[in-house]
Amino acid sequence: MPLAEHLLEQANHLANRERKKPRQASLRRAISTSYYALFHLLVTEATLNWKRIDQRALLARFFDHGKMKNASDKQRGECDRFINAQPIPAPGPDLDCMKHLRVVSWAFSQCQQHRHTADYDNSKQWTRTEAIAIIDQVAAAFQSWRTVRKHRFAQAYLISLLGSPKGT
Amino acid sequence: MIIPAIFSNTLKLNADINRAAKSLRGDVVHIYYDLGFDWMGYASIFFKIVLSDQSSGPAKLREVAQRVALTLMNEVKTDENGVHAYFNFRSQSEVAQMNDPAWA
Repeated sequence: MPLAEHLLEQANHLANRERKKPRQASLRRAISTSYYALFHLLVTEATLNWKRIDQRALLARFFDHGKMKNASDKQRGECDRFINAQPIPAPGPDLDCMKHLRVVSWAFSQCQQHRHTADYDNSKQWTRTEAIAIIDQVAAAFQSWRTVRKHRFAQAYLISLLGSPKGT
Repeated sequence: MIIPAIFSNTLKLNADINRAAKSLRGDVVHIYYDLGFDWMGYASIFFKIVLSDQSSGPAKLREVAQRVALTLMNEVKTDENGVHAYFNFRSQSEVAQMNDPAWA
């Protein structure tokens, strides 16, 4: 996953430049880049399931930010319901997966909103702590994703990122 | 556009947030918030959380931020109230240094 990981590394680099007084441009680009790191991680993972390698880049362009946010909000809700169900769910891979998917889907939703503000609202001032907290959330999402990426719940989440199926 | 009831009952909202802030004392210095709509048009609460300098350091920030966000979402019951919650964290030193009216 080189592009996604390189973007995350770049976000960290930007957030930690100018040790004494960070430039707003550096912090804004750091926040935006961290969102795109997670965006590309998930889109790349989704398109890996497409058999024709030469069409994966084209398929990636069909993913829509708004639909991905809606899917992520829905996924977080499902994770919460699963984790907090009564009776308490039995420990095991399904519960672990839902806990990790919660981290991923929540990070996606949060970071997309922050990215929008960072890119378009020039009245908002950012601090290094704000930027690092957002990047930390993305880094945690990367770790969680690696743990559960092959689980069927995670794979279903990837499909949901394309939008709602007809009839739902 | 649907305006959730929580937007008009700020007394209860303030009480919920104060309760969360008390339980997070030590890490959290102050919690500000704005009510509005996110970029997709969903009713949202934008939390602006001032952390102690110690809790906003690199060793603690990730864990503290996650715990603070979860506590606030549980106390305010954001999902049940039909609002999205977003979180920004600043250190006490940054807030003092920047003198940003949005965080006062």
